[in-house]
Amino acid sequence: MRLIVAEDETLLREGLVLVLERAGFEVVGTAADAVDLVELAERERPDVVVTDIRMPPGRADDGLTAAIRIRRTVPGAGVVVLSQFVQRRYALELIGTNPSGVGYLLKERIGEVRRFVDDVEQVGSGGTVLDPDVVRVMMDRAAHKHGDLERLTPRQREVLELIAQGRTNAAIAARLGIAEKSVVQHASRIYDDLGLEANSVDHRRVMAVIRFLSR
Amino acid sequence: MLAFIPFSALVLAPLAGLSAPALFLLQLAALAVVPFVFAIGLLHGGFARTAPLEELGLWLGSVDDGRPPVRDALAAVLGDESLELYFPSGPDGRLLDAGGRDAVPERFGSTVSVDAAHGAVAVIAYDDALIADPWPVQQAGRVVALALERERLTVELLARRRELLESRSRLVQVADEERRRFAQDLHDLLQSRLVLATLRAGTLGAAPGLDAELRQDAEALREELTEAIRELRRLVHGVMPALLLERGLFAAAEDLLDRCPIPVEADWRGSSAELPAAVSTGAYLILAEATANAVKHSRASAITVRVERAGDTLLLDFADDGVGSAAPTGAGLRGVRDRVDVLEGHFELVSPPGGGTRLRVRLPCA
Repeated sequence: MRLIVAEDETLLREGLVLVLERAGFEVVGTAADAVDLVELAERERPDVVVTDIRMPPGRADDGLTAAIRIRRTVPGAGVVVLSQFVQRRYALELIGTNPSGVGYLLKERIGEVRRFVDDVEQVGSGGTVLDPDVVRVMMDRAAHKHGDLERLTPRQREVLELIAQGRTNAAIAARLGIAEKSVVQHASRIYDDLGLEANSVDHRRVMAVIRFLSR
Repeated sequence: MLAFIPFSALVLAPLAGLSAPALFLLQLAALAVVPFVFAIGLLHGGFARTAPLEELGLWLGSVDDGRPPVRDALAAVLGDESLELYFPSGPDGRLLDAGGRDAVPERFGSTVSVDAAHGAVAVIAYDDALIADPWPVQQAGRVVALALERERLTVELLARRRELLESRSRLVQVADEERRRFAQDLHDLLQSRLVLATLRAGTLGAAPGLDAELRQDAEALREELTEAIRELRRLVHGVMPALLLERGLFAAAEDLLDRCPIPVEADWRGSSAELPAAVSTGAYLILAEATANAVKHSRASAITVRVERAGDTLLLDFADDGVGSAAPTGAGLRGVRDRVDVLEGHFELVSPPGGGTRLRVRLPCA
């Protein structure tokens, strides 16, 4: 997979490149600011862009703005943004109406090397990866806002949370130590209880759940 | 009323030179000052309760910027609408205008000083094209000398209040600025170091050929570092949420309310895009304090929040259906009041026992 890494801290950028190259990615370019990142991505058309949110020139949410633009101008390129903060709003802005090829992770997740590499791979293949902490904020908010989640059993809530994180049925089964068939059953019960349209296409079901949680 | 009697005697004495309607006007002007005598009495009484002090503050706020009635009366009597009064203040006798601001002497036309036993109480500035002879001005000044002395005390109070407001506002601005820099520094310097260390620990733990015990150690180290990053994140968020700086008040406040364990119905009107930083920060901290108070004390089951930017005013309306009895003197609400004061806004708290709590704040944001 062809990859671009954008991070303004030199040591961190080099560290990221090293980790990703060791995992077999081909890093075709690096950028230290958001302007360079957009230019590079539009020229190189990589499979995935991994970028910090807080970057020059504005040192605010420049990396996010760049990622949103790249999603528009380089179709098929996945974006993984690394955030210092748990920002539900930023994740939603990044997803827009299509969670396919989107990753939103807290920055420290890069230390869980194996999982991070898997996440980048998943986003590069059109999947979705939302940080568990961000999904937790979404779940808590939904629970405060409307009572619908109370209709779910604790197990169903766990499954819903993992679906919102972008996990596949197989990954959810492995994570919860249950059979994939059980995950499918849980999922269909959840859709029924919450009045969601059942959908087997991964990014559509992620979108449906995120829409539900963001009501 | 004691203060009024010698003044009546004073009015009756130098009748010569002024017409009856003129005297009537001057007496009216003096009457208008009576409530102030009452307020001064309270002040000199050295009371400790805050309510009358706040009333005095409100009253001072209402006289601020208005022209004193005694000036209007003098202007009418002497036939010079441009007439102004200035008041000497402090040991150096610098002159203040009716609003308690430093006056600019170069702008004065002709002047007459009004003296009492202990020195000058006021300076009457008039237009000598309209009033050629200073004599009627001196006479009129003598008639209202007592009223002018009271006016001078008001003006001194106004000046002191203004200085106090300005210095508090400067302090808050400096504090906000420091919060911002502190959050930025913590974040830029410390957090990226910790993230790098996390990455190193993670890479070490994943290195091939590492023995199991070392791998476990590396993993434990990475988890420790991750926990430190989370702590730091909470700390930075508490000092100054990034969303407030990056997306403005509405986004940050929405995020704050999203995390509130009591269900919140929020209504946002207008836009927070162009708000001055001091107002954004102030309004955010007010909402944070109100929310924290509701969570800690109200036992409420629902909160309603309305935030509206309408022209040069920002309105915050925060209501819960809890137990009420919120004390405006508690540390949290005291902080809210201070914030509102500094921004020269308006604060209203209604919290009857058992009747929920409603906090309404209006902040000017021109």
